[in-house]
Amino acid sequence: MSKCIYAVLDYNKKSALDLKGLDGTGIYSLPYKGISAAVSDMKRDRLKVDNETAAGYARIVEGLMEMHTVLPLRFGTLVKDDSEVAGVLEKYYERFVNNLKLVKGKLEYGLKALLDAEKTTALNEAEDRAGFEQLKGNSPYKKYLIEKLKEHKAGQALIKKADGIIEGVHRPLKELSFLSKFRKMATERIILDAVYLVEAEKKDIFIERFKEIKKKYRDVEFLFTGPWPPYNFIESSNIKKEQN
Amino acid sequence: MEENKILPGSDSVDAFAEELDKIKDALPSKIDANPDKVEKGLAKLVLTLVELIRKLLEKQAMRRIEGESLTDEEIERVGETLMKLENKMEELKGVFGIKDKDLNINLGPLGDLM
Repeated sequence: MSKCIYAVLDYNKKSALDLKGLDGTGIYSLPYKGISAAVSDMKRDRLKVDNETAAGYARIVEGLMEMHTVLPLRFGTLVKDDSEVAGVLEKYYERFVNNLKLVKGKLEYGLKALLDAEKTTALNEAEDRAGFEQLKGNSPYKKYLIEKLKEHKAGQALIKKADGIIEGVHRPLKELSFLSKFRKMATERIILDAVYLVEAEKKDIFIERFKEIKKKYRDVEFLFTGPWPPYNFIESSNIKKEQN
Repeated sequence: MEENKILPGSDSVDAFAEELDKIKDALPSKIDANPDKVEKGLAKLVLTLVELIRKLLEKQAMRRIEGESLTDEEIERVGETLMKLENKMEELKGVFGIKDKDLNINLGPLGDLM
């Protein structure tokens, strides 16, 4: 019977945790020098790689987060037995301890901002006519270039809007966070995709600040989520790959 | 996503789900090099790079047009070249059964190429 490792915890006891693992068996902690791994029994061939199982794994890590500071491990981290679990804790001990210190007492929040591209295009066309004068005429190539120029200007307008969102939304939230990361133009319409690591005692201020900021951006849709385990701020989630 | 994770002030999750669905299939972008599909895997890689160059050329052309630094004759030539290049790309995508969303390469921590 293999062992599935869900997360590393700042917990120093061997005990049953009040949660069921992916295979339905109880999750327990295996300690090593002040930290522990949250594991459950798992037959290797029972681990399905699909959305439902991945969501179940995420719910387990969130359950662990309710009890302890967690470092989530990569979905599907399976090892042979308890002694191999101890081996993982020993091998990556320093990294685990440093990461636990980093995320202790902090929560991760996510923010996505989505913009209706048609609104931006219309806005931009009204403002910026540079280049269109040269493309007047009946040539099919010029007509083709007109369409391309419209697309180009819409893209530029989106980037300009994204820069405004980064300045007006992301920056004040960043200032309230312990750490943050963002991607501009994650897709054609999701102009900001950001994550924040926030100290637990500041979480209410952080959430209130977002609500205030949002009022100024009526043409932008926001998806504000959390608290999440600190998936985006640790470097210990891929030990399976490194082990292999 | 569980509803209790969506915080007050959020808008409908539907538009975000729809947008993220569009890129879902492009995320595991790897060269498919198994013996049966090697041709398509390589075509995808080559066409992705050609598409990147085509977009760069297009962007440069738009800047020149906006800057009004092209003559009428040059505009005609640029238009013809870009149009033919785009049509040829459409043709090749059809030959290899490749869709627009397939034309990307995941660069790990750097994100997607396009």
